Amino acid sequence: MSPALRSMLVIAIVVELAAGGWFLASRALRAPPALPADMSDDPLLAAEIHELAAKADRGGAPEWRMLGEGLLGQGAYAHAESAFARAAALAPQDIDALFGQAFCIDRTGRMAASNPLYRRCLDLPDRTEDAVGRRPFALYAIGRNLLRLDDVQGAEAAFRENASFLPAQFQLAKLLVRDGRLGEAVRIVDDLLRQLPLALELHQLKARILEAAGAPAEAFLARAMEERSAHLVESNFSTDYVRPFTTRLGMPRVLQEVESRLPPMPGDPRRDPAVLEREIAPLEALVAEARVPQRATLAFLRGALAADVDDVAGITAALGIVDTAGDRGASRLELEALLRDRMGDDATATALRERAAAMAPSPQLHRRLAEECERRGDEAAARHHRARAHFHLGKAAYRRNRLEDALREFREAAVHDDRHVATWYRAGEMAYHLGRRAEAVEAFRRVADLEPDHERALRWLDLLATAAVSGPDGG
Amino acid sequence: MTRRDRLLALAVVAIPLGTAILLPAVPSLRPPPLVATAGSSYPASPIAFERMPLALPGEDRHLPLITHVQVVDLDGDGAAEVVACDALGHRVVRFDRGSDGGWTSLTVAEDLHVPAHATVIDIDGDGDRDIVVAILGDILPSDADVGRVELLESTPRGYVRHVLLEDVRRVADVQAGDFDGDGIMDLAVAIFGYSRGEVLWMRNRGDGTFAPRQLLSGPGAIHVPMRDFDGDGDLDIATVMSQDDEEVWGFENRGDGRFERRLLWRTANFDQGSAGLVAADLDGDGDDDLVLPVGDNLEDFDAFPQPYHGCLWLENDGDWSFRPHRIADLGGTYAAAVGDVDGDGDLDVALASMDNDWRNPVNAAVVWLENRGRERSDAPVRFRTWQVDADPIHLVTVAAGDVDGDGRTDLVAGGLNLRRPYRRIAGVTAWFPRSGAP
Repeated sequence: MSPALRSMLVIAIVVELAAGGWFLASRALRAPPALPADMSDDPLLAAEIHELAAKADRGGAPEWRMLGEGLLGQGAYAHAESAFARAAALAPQDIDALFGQAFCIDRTGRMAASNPLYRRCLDLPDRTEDAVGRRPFALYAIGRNLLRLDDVQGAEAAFRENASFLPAQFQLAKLLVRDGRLGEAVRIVDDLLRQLPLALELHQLKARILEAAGAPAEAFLARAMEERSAHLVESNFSTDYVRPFTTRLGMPRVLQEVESRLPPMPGDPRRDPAVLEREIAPLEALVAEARVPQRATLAFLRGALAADVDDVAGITAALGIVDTAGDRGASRLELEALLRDRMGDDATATALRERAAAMAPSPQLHRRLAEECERRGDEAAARHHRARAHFHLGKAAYRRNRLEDALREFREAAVHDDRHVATWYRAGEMAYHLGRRAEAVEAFRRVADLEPDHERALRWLDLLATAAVSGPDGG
Repeated sequence: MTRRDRLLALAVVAIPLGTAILLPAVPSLRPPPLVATAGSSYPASPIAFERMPLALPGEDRHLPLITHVQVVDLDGDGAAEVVACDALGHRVVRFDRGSDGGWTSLTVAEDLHVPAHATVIDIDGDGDRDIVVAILGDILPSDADVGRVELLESTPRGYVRHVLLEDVRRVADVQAGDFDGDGIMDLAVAIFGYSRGEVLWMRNRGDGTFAPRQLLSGPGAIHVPMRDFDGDGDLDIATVMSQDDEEVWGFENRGDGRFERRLLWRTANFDQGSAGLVAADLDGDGDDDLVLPVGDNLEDFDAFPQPYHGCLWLENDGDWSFRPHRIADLGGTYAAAVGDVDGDGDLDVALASMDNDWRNPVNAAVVWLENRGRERSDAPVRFRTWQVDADPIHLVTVAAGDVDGDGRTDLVAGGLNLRRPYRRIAGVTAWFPRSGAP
């Protein structure tokens, strides 16, 4: 080797040693992930969080963001903030990292500090995984934080700036109503209702505007639309944002996986008790002595699977765990009824179901009770339960805006029990929404016959006596 | 190539390779970064309290869900009991103090689907004490018609159950009073719901049934305290709404079952988390004020104390004008109760926290606010916060009263253990003053 080459090698070695030393020193002086001191609320969590932390410690921005999301899903806002901050520093264009950091600061009560970060999100390329992305939420959060800081004017400006985001426009309309600027508020609400005709809060706000404007009849009808509407304006996005992270780790992740493999109806071939049993047993062992909510959840799962295969010992064991957890609710009564069925103790099973139906009525329970009453020849009780089964089916259909189905169920309920005030009242509401004025009037009259001081039925009868009121769907 | 040359060449390759291999395994020599902390703790109360758990059987393996506690003479024997709504056990329970100082629990009524509040009142005027129960129907957010008002009628054979109101959303509170002056008890009902709710008063028809009348439509009604707020001789109603809007309303009784609605207080901060409403004459001026605990973060999966959490005193200035004063900053405040804690003749306030920052074990779970009176006649009443205890955590209900019959005001609180951490928890806990008070 020539002296010149040798000298070059020596120089290269010196440079490499210096660089390597710098890298190793930098690495040794890095801040490790901040993790909660106690993660014992979930027996699986500590190991999974430490694995995420180890990946972040070795990795880059995506790994730090994953750690942040994992911690956020466990409610460790402050620790998640630290992880998101590292991710945002490593990848300044990553809107998810910066948004996560801003959100954690926001939820830990430092509104003024979080708003500049949310504002920076507005300049970053948005997510493409979903239609809305993060930027409208960031701008909405700025407005929400300004309200939390009592800066109502600033919040109004932020909501105005967020013109294409429905929750922001809803908040803007609310501020206008609060300030007495009803004209602009009603224009916004009407415009939003054209986009979302069954948005519950919009009808609620419309009713408030109409009450403030001295139009009580119109306000009453807006309340009727509120009652019918099921679409919720996403005025508090926090849980929707965090929810996907809550089931990524620990017991919630495992339970979600098990439940996803457990079709609700017994007899479904995918509902293989043997396979699920193998998955549930280890989980039960993990939480056997723990005071955690998953203990009762697992017990109800075990009870349902045991009932599928008429496993009396399995149901008894499940009941024992539920009792240990202290739950004395309707689900526990139904589980015990399943046990009594399999022991041939029909009278006790029926009594338990009667108690469960009195606590938490459902169409399924009332149907079952109707069948049991028929079997023992108690026709009056059977008719009562049939009526209530149809009534609850009607309400379920109403909540899904299936008005014809709902009206049919309420009519059927009235066939079995024509003295149930709520059935006639709901039938009147359905008929109104379907634009069938005469039918609505008849139903509300039945209510008034049964309860002459029924305030709302009397109000409906007053309103329906006015020619202009027919119902939103024509008629 | 000499051996030395070969070593040099090898080193040129080995140094970066070794560095790359070693790098991920290098341990950090620095501590993790500090993370944000919050929450509040206060100087220890000059009155030393002794904590006593009033445990239900098997409770050490439960996650207790106590929604309401009160100190009340349920059986009319002249001594107070602790009555609690147990949403996990779906029942109303009472705790009695034995002559040996020990406590026993007794189920008053079961099969109550998530009871939220129990009001002890002689509703039928037969001289005994009935219980009217607000049935939430679901502890979790729900817009379903799962709420009810149930009456547990006291009879010589025990309590007989009647449903007074159903087919409504989650009911959070029910109070009884004669609103229409006909000499029989009517009801005021807070239907919290979730996205939809309402406030009702229910006229007693006199035959055991009630006719509902709507006072306000909107979600989030928590409590319906009743008092003669305007001093005109009849019972008025107040409520706090705490979902989309954060508002306190009054319903002025105009006679003959007519009420006029009045907005008493509001904030644009829809994140505020109003958590209850208590009526009491805090300043001793002869009219009833309102105490507003603030700190409900149940809209988040996991909560954190916020700078606006604490307690407001809405001072009744007359003519339905209520002036707000901030009197405490306790993080996650969920409940307030009023009583003369220090025995000096004025009303103090007890607060319980559901969501202080529980990572810090000294943060307060229960505090009391000493009423120090007015410095000048035109100045607001001053309050000083004293810490009673840092445990147990997740408290959502608190009551003040003389539980042990020693003439001093005791405190009782209940825990709603829905959220992490699942440690330092209890169902019903009492605190008895043992020193420092008259």
